[in-house]
Amino acid sequence: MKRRAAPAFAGWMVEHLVPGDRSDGLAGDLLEQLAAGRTSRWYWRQAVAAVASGWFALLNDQRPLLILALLWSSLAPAWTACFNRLQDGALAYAETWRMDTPWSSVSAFSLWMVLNLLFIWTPIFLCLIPNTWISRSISRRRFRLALLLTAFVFFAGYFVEWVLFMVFSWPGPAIPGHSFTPTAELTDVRTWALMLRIPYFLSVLCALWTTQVPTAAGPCEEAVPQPRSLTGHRERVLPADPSRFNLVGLPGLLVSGFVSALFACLLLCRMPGIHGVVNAKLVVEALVYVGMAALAGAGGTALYWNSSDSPFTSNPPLSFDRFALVTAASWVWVPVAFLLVVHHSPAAPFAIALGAASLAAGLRGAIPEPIIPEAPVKGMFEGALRTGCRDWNGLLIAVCVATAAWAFSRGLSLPAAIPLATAGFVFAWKYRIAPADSADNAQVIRRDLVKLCGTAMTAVLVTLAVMVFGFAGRGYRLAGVPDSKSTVPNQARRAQARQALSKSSGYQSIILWPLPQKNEPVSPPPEHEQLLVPDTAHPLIIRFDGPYWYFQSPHRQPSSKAHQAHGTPVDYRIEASGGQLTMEAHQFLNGRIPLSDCREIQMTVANRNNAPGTISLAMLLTNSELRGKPAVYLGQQPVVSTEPAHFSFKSAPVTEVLRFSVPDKARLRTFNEITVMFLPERGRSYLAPEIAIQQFALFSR
Amino acid sequence: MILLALVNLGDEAYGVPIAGEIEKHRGREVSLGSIYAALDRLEVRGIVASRLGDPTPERGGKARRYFRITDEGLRQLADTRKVLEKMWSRMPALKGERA
Repeated sequence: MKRRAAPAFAGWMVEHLVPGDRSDGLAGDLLEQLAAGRTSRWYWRQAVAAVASGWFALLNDQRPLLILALLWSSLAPAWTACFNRLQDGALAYAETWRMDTPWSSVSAFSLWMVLNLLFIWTPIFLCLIPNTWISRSISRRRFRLALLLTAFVFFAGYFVEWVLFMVFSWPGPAIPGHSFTPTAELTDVRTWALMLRIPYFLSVLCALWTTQVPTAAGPCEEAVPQPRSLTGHRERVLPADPSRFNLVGLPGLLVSGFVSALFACLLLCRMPGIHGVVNAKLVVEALVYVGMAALAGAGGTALYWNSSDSPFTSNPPLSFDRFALVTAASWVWVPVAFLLVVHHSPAAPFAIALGAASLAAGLRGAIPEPIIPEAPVKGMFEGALRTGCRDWNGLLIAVCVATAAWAFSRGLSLPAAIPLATAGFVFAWKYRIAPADSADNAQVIRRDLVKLCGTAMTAVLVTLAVMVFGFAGRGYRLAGVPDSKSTVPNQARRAQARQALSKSSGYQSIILWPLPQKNEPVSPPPEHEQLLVPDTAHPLIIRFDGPYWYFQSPHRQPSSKAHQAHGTPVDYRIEASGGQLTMEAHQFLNGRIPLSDCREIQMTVANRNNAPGTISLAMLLTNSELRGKPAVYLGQQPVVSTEPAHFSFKSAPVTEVLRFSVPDKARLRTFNEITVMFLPERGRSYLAPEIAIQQFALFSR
Repeated sequence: MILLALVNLGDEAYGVPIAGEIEKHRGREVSLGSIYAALDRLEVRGIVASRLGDPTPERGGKARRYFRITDEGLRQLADTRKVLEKMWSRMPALKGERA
């Protein structure tokens, strides 16, 4: 019988897309029929029908699971609304969660993950109880696997969705978080609510599927019980060809190693402090960071390697020592990438791509090339003519690089890291030559050890450079625009402000005074005079020279021990260590202005805010001389350049004018203070807006 | 139909002859994928059993999967036949059908 090749993609579909592990028989039957004279078209038809009927039968068998997952995930927006209320309410003030940066991020993430996992795991327990009653025992191993897999699928799904949102709809969907109610969210079918349900649906389905659906057994007559080891675990059946590396378990090993290294960096890695930087100390810190990342990565890998779920418990394709050495050569780049990512450096994607390429190159060098029998070539050049020159890897690399370049051009340096890392990994994996033969194991390990030492030293140097230059860059940023005419006291004051405003300063509240303007005295309007510049029809201009208040809820003003510093908000990034950060600006006037004389107040602001999320400014006119300090609220206006539709990355402040109408009749007749409240949308209320007030223009009625 | 085809084919029943047997009597092309999906379900229910044959070059090195009907399957097939015969015997002659 003459053998004919099946259409490549259709063959791949039959072997990989038909559910279950019985596709070999089907693929063989189709090839047999093809050899018997069937056409490629017939093969395609059969392949599509096989995939469709296989999945239909599988999903039809598992209808209850699908329906349960669908119903449960439809509750996700309502759950999110409850969760947000919980987070903004009781948990916001709980002492447990009030930690300093970066622990506040760790605790917030842990809380978010734990609560979401509880929500996702609930249907598993709901299904487990009736199953136990009906004495259909559930494997403890599968149950444990389901719990772990769910956490991974949920986090990965959420992260991928977030990245897609960032890439295709920067800065994310406009979610009216404040108007959420759990009952209304049950029937919410807006795009963001539907998107929110997807990771929950996948996680719940994955969990239910893993615990409930029995794994496809082999043919009945060939099903032989697997021998049990002395420890009670089933021995694994070895692949027929030991030179073929089982790639199935590889992602799990790499993920566990990477997560461990990342966790070590999260605990250890810090940029040097603002003061007291000693070079020797920096070197030691860089050595510790790199060393601990490598050790943690190897430790995480070892945990998975030796676990009962690992495919490498018996007769692994390469020794653990070698695998740990090879992968450690890439974990040493994690501290560099971590420091760059934390400090929003555009170099971060390149460091991540370097680590990914290093990982791929190391693995490719350690994993033996699978032996693939070559098809006999009958005539000269026949092979070259038959084999098309298709390089999908090249195409993938090109697409990834183009995507990364596009993301860079939009200022999305962190999302650009994913395609860049993918390109680096694929490039190194495909174009590094795998070892043809395996030399003496001890010799190979010595060689890998030398390589690791070289890579680690390079990583230490790069980490050191990042720490030194990162420190210098941060110092420059905090110092603001250098002023050649600045005096020594001003420099000292700025240094004090830098120290005060660093994230880890730990102040309960801060009062930030604008830097004094030379030769520009503030001119508060005289009492009972028309709001016009003398002899002109121009509005009265009051340059802002009041303080900015930063304090955390539930306080209503800075404490008596609030730290006072000079500077402008556009130069500082101030974060709350826990709870909600409130920011206010206060302009005190020397005299009182009759409310009836003023028709409108225009406020000019400079916005250098690069965090997504709309910020509104509200204005209050107060008479602080009267008892109870009565005030008139003029409403709130959004800063247009912070709205999602107008948002862009700003390297320099953007000036904007906000208009506030003054009512002619109010219970307040005169005012001597203008208060501006900064109202960021929920979700970014921990971060102070980088918006400075420049002046007020008062228009007469 | 699949069970009957298995009984007819005996020990040499695998995907291709089963599909051929059904096509011969039905007069229409049958998807091999749907036959395998149905056989999988029957195997889970213990009505059929399968074993792997030797791999052959014309099949791309893939083994044949031979199916056979189990005793439980035969019993269920016999029961179904009885029910069907009883129901057909009480059925009046359909229009266009010879008595």
